[in-house]
Amino acid sequence: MTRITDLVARGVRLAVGGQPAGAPAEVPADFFQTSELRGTTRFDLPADAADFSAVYEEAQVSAPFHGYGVDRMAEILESKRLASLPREVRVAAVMASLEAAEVSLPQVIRDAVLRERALDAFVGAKQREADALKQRNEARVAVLRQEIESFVGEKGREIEGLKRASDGAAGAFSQLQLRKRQEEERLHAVLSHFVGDSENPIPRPA
Amino acid sequence: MSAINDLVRKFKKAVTDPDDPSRGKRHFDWEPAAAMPAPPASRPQAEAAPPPAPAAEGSPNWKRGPSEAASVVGTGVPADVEDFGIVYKSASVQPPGHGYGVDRVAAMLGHKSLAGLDKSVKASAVLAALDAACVSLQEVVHDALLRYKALLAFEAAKELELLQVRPRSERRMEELKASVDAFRTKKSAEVDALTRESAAAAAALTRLETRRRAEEERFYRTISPFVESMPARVIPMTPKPAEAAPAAPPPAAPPGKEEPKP
Repeated sequence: MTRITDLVARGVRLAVGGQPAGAPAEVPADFFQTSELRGTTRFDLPADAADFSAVYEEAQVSAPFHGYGVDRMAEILESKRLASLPREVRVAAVMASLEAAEVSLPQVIRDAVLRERALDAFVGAKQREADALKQRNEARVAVLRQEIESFVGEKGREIEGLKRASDGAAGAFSQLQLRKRQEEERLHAVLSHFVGDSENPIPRPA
Repeated sequence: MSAINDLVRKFKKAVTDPDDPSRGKRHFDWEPAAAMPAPPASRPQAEAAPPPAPAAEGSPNWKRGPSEAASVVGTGVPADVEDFGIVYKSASVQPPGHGYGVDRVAAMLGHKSLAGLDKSVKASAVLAALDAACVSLQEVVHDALLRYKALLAFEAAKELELLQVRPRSERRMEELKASVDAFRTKKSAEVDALTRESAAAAAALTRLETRRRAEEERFYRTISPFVESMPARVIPMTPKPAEAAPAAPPPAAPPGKEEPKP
């Protein structure tokens, strides 16, 4: 729960004077129960939207009464003209400007509550989007890693097979050379019974 | 000497078969070059062989047609063939029709009857047997030479195969390694892109959270000087009438089932 939500959860009591005559000093919590925000499960705006005003617009937060919402009030409070004055004076100045604009303090508070809720909805939507993206990407990464492993394994087995075949062929050839020499010796030996070394057509193996 | 003569007679008797029509003098083709593959040029043994002579009519039927390539020798026969007989057969080297090839002569020389005798005595005995069978020594020598050349050709063919197989295998291995690298690079790039995308989304969310806190803090700073939260409402806990009444005495235990005394 945010600070403003917490503040208005049980209703609020106005802590300053200067309210119009007959205006209630307390505002019940029901006044801040907002239903005018659109269904805010999804926002088209990106999470890094430069300005929250676009977020409030997309959430259909209605424009403050007479343009006098929490933003205007913040501007007045942080105005350079009032910066050096005591807090009470600044509050009084704000109350005077509210009265001049015919805007009640509860309407401004309600504007703040609406904006805060829109902001919460926006962050919640972006959180869900980020979670979904993360989940989707992790699943895809797992598939890709599996594909890499499978491909590398398959090609590795082929490479191993080729190496084995190559080594086997070299080994078999060495064996063949050895056995061929033995056969040559045998043939040479048989003929050597009948012909001299120089006439033997089968040379003695080196 | 009578013992030797006796031995020669035994051999003659053993090898002579007067009913064999195939026996007879045949023309000896010492160097059937057209039939046999040329040995590798680097081999001194091959160079030492006599020059080829033209094949004469009536030459033995083991000769191969001149159109057959020498590299055909050993085709389909593995290098680790157990028996060179298969190699000779694939090279169309067959024992002479009368059966007196070098293998038979080798068997005769190694016969137990000649065991322990002098080399020249063994040779005389075999020659006598060959004479009796009307087989010339040249035919035996020719058979040996054919086999020897078949061996040379087989070895050369297998060496050639090896020389061809090795670079082919190496080329294929290089291709496979390159394809693995390319595949890995491509997929890794995709993995990296996805990881970056997730990280960027998480970072954007973190920044958004920070900005939201700042915005909410700004709202609170603006509002809080003007209002205060309503205190929690205290609900008085009034006892219910049923609870306020004195508790009824516990029901009496059934007879015979008294509670145990402490």
